[in-house]
Amino acid sequence: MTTKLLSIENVTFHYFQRHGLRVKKRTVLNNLQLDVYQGEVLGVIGRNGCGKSTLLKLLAGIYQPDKGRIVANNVRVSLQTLNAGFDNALSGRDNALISAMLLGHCKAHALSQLEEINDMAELRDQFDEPVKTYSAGMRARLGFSIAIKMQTDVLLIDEVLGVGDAAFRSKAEQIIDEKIRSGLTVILVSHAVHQIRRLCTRAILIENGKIIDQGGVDGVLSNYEKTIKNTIG
Amino acid sequence: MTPKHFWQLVFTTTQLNLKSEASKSYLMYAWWFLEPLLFVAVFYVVFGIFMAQNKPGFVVFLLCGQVPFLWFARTISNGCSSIAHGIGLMSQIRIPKLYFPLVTIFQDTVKSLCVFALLLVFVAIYDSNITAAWFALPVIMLVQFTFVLSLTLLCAMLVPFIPDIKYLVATSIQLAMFGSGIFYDFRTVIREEHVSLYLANPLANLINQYRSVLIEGVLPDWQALATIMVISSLVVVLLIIVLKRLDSVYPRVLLE
Repeated sequence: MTTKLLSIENVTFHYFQRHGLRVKKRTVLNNLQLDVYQGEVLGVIGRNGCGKSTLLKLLAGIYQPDKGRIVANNVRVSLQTLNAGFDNALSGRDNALISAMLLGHCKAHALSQLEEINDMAELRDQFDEPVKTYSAGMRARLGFSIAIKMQTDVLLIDEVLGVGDAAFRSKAEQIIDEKIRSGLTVILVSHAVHQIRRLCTRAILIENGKIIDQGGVDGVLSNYEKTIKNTIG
Repeated sequence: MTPKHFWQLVFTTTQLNLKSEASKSYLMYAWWFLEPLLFVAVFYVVFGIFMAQNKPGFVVFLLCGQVPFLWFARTISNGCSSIAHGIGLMSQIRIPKLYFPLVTIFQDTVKSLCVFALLLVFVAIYDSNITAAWFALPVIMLVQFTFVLSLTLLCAMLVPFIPDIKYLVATSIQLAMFGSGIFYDFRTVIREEHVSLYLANPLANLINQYRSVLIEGVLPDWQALATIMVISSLVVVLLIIVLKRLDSVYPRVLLE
């Protein structure tokens, strides 16, 4: 954990909600400061609407911050949600090709990876059938396999591993473990406390657009559980 | 994303979208030809038979207006929401927003090229009148492509900010149909003093050029083509520059 891959410097981000002609401003992230180091698995937790997903979108370069800046030192960052927009009428193979190219790979490289994607997703002959014939689990497996095979330097994962059967879930966790050991940096947003505990090396807790706690996973998680209890109680 | 990668992505998506679209209907690729044929059939019945314009050559005259018009109309109506519909993708990955309109424009252009091929075969058989002027056709088509590209880009870029424009686009396409001489010959309908105004409409002008080449067998008006080409190209370049600047604005505008 020495090389700094990404840093978020005093980032503020607003949403503008439009109702007809009226516009309302809401601050989602407020003067956020965070560094991400090579090879770490950073867990991001917090309640719904606290700004977790916005943070990932900023890191992926989809949004630009209103204030502050994000410094990425020549790294490829990609956001992976498992419900990536597959075209239902096309085969798993065609969808994998387009997804891989969208994730930033040239056509030749994407084509060369298709068989390995199929191996990992365990779709076999179904790989050439339209995605509309797939079960939810099969779609999730395809999405996960594309994301993992078409590796980037920093993988941003938003609420994953909830789908797929138990066997694939444990395989997916194992694959993530391997990737982490091979030096892939992961930022994981999840509500599943056990997943954060198992996979992450560090965690941050976001509340009302600010980081209110960061550091060791156990400490941050117990703090998170406390904030939830306080709200309920 | 390098330019090479960007174009690879645009062409692969276009190809796969066409495949996807075709697989969604029973007659698949046949619809590329059937749909324009149905349009022409309706026009023929209304204007050729009911309104008794059944002069010889009316079908060819109609086709020369209808085929280019459908290319124009379909591209703009499909393209105007292209950036807005790209929200699912652009909220997941960082992608140049030019990708979305380009894919729809190419999709409709591929389909239209097939219809043009059919038109040429039809004219060749019906009129058996292939002249050297036909070599000018690709030039007219290139000018039309650039013109359609400029309008589609403009609409696609505006719709995310002002969704209401979609309704105006549909009405404007209707207007363009009536104002571009698809089912009438402007020389017999438009008054002498209004002709230059009529031909200032690029679509009417282009349709007139197609007819010069395909029906009269004469070369098109190069000066008019050059004017449309230069203005459209300038607009395209300008719009691409603006689109690059607005690239990170679109996901926010569309999600908020």
